[in-house]
Amino acid sequence: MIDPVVLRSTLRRAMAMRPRDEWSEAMLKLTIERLLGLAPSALSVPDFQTAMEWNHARNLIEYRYDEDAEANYWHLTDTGKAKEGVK
Amino acid sequence: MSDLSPNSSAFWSPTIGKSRQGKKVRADAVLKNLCPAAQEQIAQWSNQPAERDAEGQPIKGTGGVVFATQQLAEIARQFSLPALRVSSATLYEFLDWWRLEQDLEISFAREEQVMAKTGDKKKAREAGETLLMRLGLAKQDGELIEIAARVSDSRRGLDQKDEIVSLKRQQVGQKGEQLKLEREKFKASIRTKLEAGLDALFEEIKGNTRAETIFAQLREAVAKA
Repeated sequence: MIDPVVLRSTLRRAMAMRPRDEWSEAMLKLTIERLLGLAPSALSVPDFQTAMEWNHARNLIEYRYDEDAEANYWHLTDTGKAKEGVK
Repeated sequence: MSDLSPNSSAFWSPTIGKSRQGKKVRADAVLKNLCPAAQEQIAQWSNQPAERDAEGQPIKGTGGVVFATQQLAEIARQFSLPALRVSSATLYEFLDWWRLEQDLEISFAREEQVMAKTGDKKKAREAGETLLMRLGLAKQDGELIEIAARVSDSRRGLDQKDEIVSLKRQQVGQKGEQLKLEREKFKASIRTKLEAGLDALFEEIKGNTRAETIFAQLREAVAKA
């Protein structure tokens, strides 16, 4: 199991690589895995979701559901961007 | 700024945000905040093959990451930028990050292209995700390529994947030499598929100079993988 503290910050670090873009969950998960040096799909979905919820609860990330794409798209909030030092 | 000369101090000066100024900046953050052209130069140094001696053995420090750290140390000395004096470990971390950033750029661009072409947002999203997955696979070692590709191809439930990875690792340990040969074959087939995918991708990005530059680097990375 990956340290939840590391995972929470890695999630924001991943999004900070493209702070102006919206991220699908699969894209975000793949990026986190690469940042942590894991194989694709090595990060468990519950661990990933826990990290998402933690950041969401603190208003560091936000999402919108896109009906056409049938997916949630996530982005860093202004608070999240400030925390990561990106604009 | 891409119009800066690599022989200027400004070219090698990191752009750290105002909120970070005055604070101690991590060594890898220094490299991540260099201009794109400087980052590309570092990646090129790291990819440079080492020269070989008369016996065909690589000469230490003439290529790869060691060479890149030496080049950076020289620039640090020349322009009084001590932050550019980094360890090999820091440089490795930066290179992983840089390659991922390149892959993200091309994957997000792919998503936009498919969206523009088909108007199908779901298809566009999947195209971007698939490309990022493939690019990630191309950079993994043989064992992980095998495990991840099988898991991905069969589209098993995400909750089963940890178990599968563990099982496959056990098998890899048991099969020894036989598996090594199979892995080589598998790597070759993955590369072939990937190259076919890249050819198709190139057709779609043709004309976009920035995307073509990234594509050329990508193709080189795949060839080396």
